[in-house]
Amino acid sequence: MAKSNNTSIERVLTEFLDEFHQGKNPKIKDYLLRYPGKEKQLIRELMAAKAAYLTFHPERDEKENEESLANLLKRLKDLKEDK
Amino acid sequence: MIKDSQLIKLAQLGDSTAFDKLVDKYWDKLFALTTKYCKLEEGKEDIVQETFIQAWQNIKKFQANSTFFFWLSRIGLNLIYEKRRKKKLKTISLDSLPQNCLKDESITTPFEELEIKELKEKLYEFIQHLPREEKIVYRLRMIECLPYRRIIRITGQSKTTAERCFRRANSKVSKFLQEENLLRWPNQIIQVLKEY
Repeated sequence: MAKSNNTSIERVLTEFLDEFHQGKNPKIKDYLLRYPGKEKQLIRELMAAKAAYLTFHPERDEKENEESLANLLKRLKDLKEDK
Repeated sequence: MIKDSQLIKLAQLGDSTAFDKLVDKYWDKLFALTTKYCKLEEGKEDIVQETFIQAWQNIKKFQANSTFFFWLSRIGLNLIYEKRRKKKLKTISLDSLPQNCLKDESITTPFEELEIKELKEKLYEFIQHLPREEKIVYRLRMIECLPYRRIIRITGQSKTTAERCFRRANSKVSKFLQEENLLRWPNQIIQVLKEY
């Protein structure tokens, strides 16, 4: 469900990492849907947070998931090329 | 003593003597790595040799954004993987395999171990150079997995300030990840994962 556009990026990052810390595996695409209008700002921040989290906690990496570390890094590269 | 970067530049210009020096320098190290990851009884020396042949053939493609040894090790690990794959194809009937065994983690582990290790090391180093407040909050939140109620007790900041510190650090990490050319290798992992 879409949430308020007033939520800061900082608070979204907090919510995103809290999910990891609770043992869940939050999906970036869910957050982009939840916070419409913030997609451009959010995507890099969430991808970086998730890539870093999975790098430091590789046991949480679901390798066959479309949001696995390998796929996230590939997409980060694509973002760079899209600049 | 001549630096690797100078030897590589000369080798890229076709100087085989310069490349021979790189071979001398890295043969033992590559052999040790091959021994660690290659469970096959035979052919370790062949893999090392083939790695250097491929490295020589592709030396012009080498870019200085990773170390020469890391580049070599990726070629070597690719060869080990190919060899294992061929051996499996030759010796095992698919019908005889238990369910899910094709998702054999040991096949992808050598790539991932090295690559994630390198990424982790670079990230640690990058974080070390963040401003002090950002570094502390980022480490506590990302690495130690602490909630903000504990972080603010440690740092004495308000939650809003701590969240801002984290975001600033995270934005820098995002730029770092994009600027680092660590990001070519995932193609290799994806290819491996797709095959299994």
